[in-house]
Amino acid sequence: MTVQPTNKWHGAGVALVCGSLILLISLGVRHAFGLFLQPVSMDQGWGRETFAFAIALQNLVWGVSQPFTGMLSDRFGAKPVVAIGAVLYGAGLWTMSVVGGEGIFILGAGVLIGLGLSGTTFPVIFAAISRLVAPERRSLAMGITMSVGSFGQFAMLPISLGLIVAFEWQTALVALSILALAMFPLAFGIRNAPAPIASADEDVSFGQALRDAFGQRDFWLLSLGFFACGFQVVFIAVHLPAFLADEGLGSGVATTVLALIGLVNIAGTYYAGLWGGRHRKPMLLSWIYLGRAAAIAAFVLLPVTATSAYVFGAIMGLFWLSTVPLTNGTVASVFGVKHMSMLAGIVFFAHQLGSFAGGWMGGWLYDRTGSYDIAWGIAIGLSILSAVLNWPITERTLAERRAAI
Amino acid sequence: MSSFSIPHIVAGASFLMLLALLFSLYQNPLFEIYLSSWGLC
Repeated sequence: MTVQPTNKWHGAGVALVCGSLILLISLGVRHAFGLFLQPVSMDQGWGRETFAFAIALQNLVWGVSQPFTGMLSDRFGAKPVVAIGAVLYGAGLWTMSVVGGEGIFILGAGVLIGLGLSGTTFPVIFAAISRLVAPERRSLAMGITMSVGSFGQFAMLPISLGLIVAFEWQTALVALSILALAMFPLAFGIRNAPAPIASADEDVSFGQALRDAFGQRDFWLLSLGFFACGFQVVFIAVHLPAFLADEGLGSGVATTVLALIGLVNIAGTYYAGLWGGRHRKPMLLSWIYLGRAAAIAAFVLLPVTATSAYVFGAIMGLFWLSTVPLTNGTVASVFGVKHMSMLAGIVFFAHQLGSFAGGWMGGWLYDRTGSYDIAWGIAIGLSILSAVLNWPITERTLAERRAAI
Repeated sequence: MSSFSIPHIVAGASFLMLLALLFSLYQNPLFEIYLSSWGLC
């Protein structure tokens, strides 16, 4: 049966607000974990490896579980998935606050929060909201929710620092745990709606949806392009402070650059969603990746100063998470929204592989060459490659693709 | 609805002030200590 939303926002206001707040909390709280490395490691008498391993595991668990969490969300609706994700997220944070062994900490920070993230972040939220709004408004809706999530990332760092300074890290984690549990009632604001089916090609089983996606060249191109995004974002986030220190700049410069990235990212994600509703999304992705390549190349090839670092931070902020609504929006455009969470979850898995590679390879190459030159080169090369990969992707639906054969 | 109505201007200005406040909080020297590990997440 073909069902289409009958008005532009289709009564999605409450879901949009609740989905945005869920992303604000889930992305924001996660973003502040780095602040806990030092106090937790010092108090527990651990090396940095324990915390680092827990966070690396969290990213892998998030990426690996996302397609399956997405599948559950597509099958049962976002409401129960977000609600359970909120409980797991809160339990993970509480577990982190407990002075137990390393295994308990890794279970909480790595496994529970990794699973919690997969239930409360964009593949699940975007698909739920996309089912409620008209197709021409989906990109903007994703841009709005992602922008609020980006604001959460920007805001939660200073808030979390304030909590740590005022109450010690254990209490700060308990407070964040309570905040994570606030996603539980918010989940009930996301109305479960049947997926609007544009054509019979979208009204298929999970298995057929997977076969359809894997059979499309554009699905692979989109995933490979998103790998580059993960690589760049994590490489810059992890290694930029050390790079700037190597260039003789104080750590205050790195802090301001990271703040600038977070600040401008709020606008970048919103406008990406807005323009994604007016222009071809893969083309916008290509321009974003080209913009990243140009910004990185100019930054590392020109003399590195505090001013150039600030300009780099502002430009990268514009291109930071702006790929997320456009990439997820392309999945919705091509494959519809019935299996969107699962398919977007698979594309996100590629992103997480890139994230792992960016964080790890940057350090590995630095240790062997004594500089970040090769890693920056890889970041530029991947960006250009991603621009080339995204350019030929079309937003034709499956039905249109089959009719064209 | 005009984009330049008084409530919109007040809301916009308040939001910009909030962003400026948060940005200024990043200048706390403690951030330099704690954010040495920022990128891990």
